[in-house]
Amino acid sequence: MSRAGPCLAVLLPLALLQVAGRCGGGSGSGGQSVREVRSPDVRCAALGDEFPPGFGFVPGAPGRVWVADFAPPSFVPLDVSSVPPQVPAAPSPFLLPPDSDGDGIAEGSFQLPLSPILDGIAVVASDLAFATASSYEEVIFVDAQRGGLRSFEVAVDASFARADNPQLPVPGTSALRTALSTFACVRPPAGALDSRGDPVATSVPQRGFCDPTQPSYLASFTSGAAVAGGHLFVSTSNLGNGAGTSNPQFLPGSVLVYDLDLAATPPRVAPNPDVPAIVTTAFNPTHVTAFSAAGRDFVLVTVSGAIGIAEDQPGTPEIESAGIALTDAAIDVIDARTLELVATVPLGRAGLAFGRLAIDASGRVAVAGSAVARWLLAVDLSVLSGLPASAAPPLVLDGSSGPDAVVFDAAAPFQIPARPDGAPAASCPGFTAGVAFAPAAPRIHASDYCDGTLAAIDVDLAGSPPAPLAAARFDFVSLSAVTAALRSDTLGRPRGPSALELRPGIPGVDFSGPELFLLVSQPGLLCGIDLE
Amino acid sequence: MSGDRIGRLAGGGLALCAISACVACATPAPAGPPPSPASADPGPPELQTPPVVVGAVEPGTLPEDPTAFTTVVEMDEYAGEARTVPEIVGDTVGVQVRSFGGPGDPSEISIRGSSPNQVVVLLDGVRLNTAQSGAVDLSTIPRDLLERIEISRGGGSVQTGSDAIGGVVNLVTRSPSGRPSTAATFTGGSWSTYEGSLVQTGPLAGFEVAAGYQGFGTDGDWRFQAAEREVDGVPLPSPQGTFTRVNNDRQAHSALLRVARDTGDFGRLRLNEFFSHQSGGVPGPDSGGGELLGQSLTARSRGTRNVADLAYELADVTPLGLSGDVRLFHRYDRRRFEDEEPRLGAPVDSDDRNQSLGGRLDARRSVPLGPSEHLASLGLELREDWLASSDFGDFDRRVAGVFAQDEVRLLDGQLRLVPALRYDATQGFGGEWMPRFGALLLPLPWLRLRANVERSYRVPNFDELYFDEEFVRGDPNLEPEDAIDADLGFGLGLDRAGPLRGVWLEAAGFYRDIKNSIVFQQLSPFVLVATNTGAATVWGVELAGGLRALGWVGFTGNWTRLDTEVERTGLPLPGRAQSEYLLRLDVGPDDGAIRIWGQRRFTGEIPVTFDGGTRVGARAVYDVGLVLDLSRVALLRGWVPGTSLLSSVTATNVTDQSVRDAKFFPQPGRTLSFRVEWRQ
Repeated sequence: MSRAGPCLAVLLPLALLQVAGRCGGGSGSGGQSVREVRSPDVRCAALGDEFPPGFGFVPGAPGRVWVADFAPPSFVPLDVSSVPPQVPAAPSPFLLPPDSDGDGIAEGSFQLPLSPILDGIAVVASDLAFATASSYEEVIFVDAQRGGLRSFEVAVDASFARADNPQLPVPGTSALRTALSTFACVRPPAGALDSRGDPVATSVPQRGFCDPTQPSYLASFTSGAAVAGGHLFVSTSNLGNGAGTSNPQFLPGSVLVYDLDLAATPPRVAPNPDVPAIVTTAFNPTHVTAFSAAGRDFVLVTVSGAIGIAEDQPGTPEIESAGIALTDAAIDVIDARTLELVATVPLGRAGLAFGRLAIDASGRVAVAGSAVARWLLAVDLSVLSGLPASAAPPLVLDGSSGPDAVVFDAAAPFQIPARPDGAPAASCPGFTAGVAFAPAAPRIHASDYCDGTLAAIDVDLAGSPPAPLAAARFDFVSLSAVTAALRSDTLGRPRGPSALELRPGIPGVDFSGPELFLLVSQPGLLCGIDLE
Repeated sequence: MSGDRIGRLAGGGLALCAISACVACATPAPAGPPPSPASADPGPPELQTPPVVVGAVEPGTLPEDPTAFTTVVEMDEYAGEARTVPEIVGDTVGVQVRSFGGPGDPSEISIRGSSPNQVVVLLDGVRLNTAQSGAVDLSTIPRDLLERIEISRGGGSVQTGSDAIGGVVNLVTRSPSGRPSTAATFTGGSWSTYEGSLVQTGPLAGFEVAAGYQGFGTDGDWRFQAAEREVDGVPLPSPQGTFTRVNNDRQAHSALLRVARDTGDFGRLRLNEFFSHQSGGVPGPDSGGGELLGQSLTARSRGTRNVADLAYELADVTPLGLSGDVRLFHRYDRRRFEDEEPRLGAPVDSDDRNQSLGGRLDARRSVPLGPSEHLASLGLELREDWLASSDFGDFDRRVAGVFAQDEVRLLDGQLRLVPALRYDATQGFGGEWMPRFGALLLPLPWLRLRANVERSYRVPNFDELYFDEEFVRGDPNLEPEDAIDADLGFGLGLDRAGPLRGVWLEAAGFYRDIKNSIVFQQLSPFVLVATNTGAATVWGVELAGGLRALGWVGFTGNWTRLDTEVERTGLPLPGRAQSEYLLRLDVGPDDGAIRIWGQRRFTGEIPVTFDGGTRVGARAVYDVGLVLDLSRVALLRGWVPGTSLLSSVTATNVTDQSVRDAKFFPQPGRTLSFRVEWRQ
């Protein structure tokens, strides 16, 4: 009997095994499991994921907003003229492409592991929005009219060292890019300390100095963008070690400055060679707001202060997990022409919320929320017109070295009432995450992330009162529940209202339907609230 | 070491053996009659009646629970098929397995809508659930070292104590035997996936021994499509093209040693030792941006487990007529997770070491009382669990449990009533009573009716109590989860029904009311906290059956319908498919010379979030395979060494569906595997 058969019977399976490991399988192209999302509320449009980073109305496009979505990073246009808001026929939602800045290197790749995590969006023109992103730090140029990304010419002056902007074109050159990397070298003043009180010279973590000649670090946690005085200003929080602890390390915060020419074709942006970065007076700048008064252009920087998370106290039944303000907050004032930090309004341990300032239509008062309490903080902007173009050190606008601009600070905040069935104070004492002024009347609307409420506060600006505005001119009007409070028994219900904006125009005249729009974190929603 | 390298080494070794075999083939056979062919007809397959565990239970397995709805999976039923433990367990009615990827990637089990940490998983009777996290990753279990898997749906709290709200899975390893046997397997498949095992049983120095090893490796670089999303009926853009799972290599090694020896007429001494080690990459979800969709290139994990168990099984020879066993056990688990560059937060380097040391005493006695017979059981269990965590410190907890059960047999055993009661005292949580009542009625030889009602509970694990790292917090004041379970059903089995053979059918309805479910949720803008949420109910129907026709065709199937509701919101519990069914067809002669099989698994819509607004759509996946027993092929009969040499090809997800589970991790598309199994 031939022995080839039995040998073949044994060897063939073994050969097949050797082949098997090299048999690639399929790729899942035969059909999809689709993730379907439905809005639970007729007033709201569902978004692709929880914790949407931000949204903004498009100037000149009635009822049009752009929403930044978290995962995957994407942008969704919505028409808020309908209830609930709807995706229009055009432009279309779009994903952030793998190479978001167009430098030829895909982020989130083997070559470049970091990938952008969207943080917010600021719509600055009918055809332009700036979206900020962390991790792969950048400001993304969004075409607010047609969707997709816009190309800008990004130039770097030859006076820069390569390490000053490692992800931008080589100094002395320019290139077309669809985003602006904000990995910029920040050089704090000599002897600067971090939020823990340690010298920056010895506490800069890991990667070391971007300028080998002095303590320095690359900007991180890009948080806000604004255009003023022909410049693009970008705030970066510069969080170091210990995120999520009771005492995280914040390195001195910065506002990066870029020359901006939107009239050019293509638009042009370049790090300002003289003042590429301004170090803020306090830690953790979380947004920038453009403001003009008396013919001058300013940038108001929301400097939140270092914020940690309370440690749980074993002896109490609650789980302490609230935000705690570790250092003072402030509103820094930058002259957008001279690029100098000319003044600061100290607000104490206010833990300012991480958003744009709300400024009334007359430009008299700027209001901010708080990330650590159910507060509003406010500053009187009327003093800014008298500020010098240059001041070193910056004037302190609390009546000490400059006029008093403090209306509400941490020592005497505007307290929004708590909801009777609201969030436990130990875990969530308040977070006024979204603040906005009504366009036509001096009324503030503020959302509280913890209680799920919307507060209305009137401001009496009649009679040109002197600075600072008296606290009595702020009158609490109403409190309404828009979502469930953040409690253990509300799981499954919409919770966590955050950013809010009022629709431009006069309700009932320029548009009908809801006038206030806010983001809800769980689930991700954009909701229209009819204030009447 | 990559799967590819393991494959080359093992394949080379086996090739050498094959060549040696061929050299032996070349040697003239000794004079004598030719080997007889394999027995012509082994008879019809064993009747697949719903199993009732009666009589003596092999020590180390799930103790008697005669009224529970239990499925026993004999691993030999899957001989030749390249299936993993998660896949095999997931084929069982009432069981859903959630996968975080492909072969070697983590999997967790849900029974009758439970959460994964509400299922007790035993290895030869020793609890694998750690006091830290509770859930057991089934992908760490080596399939070829198992003899059978016992899945008790809705029962087991009296026997196992805390955590068995959903049920109990007992993984029984290869038994030591005085009869020499050898089994070797080798599997190779897509994505450079290789697996090999060798199990030897037999006598050694007066002991019965079972020893085995299984190794596994994969490059895990399978391709997938990005998830599609639809919001309020409008498709949102998804990354286009085909992506590759990166940093998804995995290697695993497992070893088993079981030694047993009869000690005269009084009993049997047994020692079990099980060791496993896994390591590999952790790419995470694909929900981010960039070229790799946010997959991590740097996260890595390693795990080591050792289970040691020494038991003495007392035979029923004492003056009191008692039988039982006493055992000591120790389990060690170490898990390391490292990520130098996480997407968010600081670099991670976690090192968690869990240990459990305990002992258990079980005693049984049969007592006739008038018209009834009583099978009384008593048990005592003491256990201490330790955790040494680099993240949040060291913790320990002691548990003491005592339980009693009486199986009352009436009407010549046709009616069995089984009251049982357990009391557990857990350090920090006081004492809990777990009563249970079950009934089994056998009105006809081929019909069984069962019903059970039971209280079960779950003590919060250490993660839920004490975790304190960045944005996640435990709550030391958590209350235990508390549940009442009830089920009712029947099973029938017919040897023959006209042209059909081996007909069996099982149906059950079940209901669970659970309070204080523990969930991590956002309670502050910055932190997720473990919380007791409100009440929820789970109810459903299980249907399973099978038959054989014409001597060639076998059909099995099961269907599970699951409805869940959170009391406060009226919305379903997330992560549980509302329905699942499996239809399987086997074609081949009774002697098993060749078998072609195919199955369709349907998974219904899965709610993903507590708000009910996000769901994963329904899907159907097809698997097929061919198994050939070369020892039964007429041309080769007598030349193939050993009792069987199975050679098979298995194709899973034949239609290459893009499958995503409730956690929305991508899973492989079509996968091809070849397997060789040899037994002596």
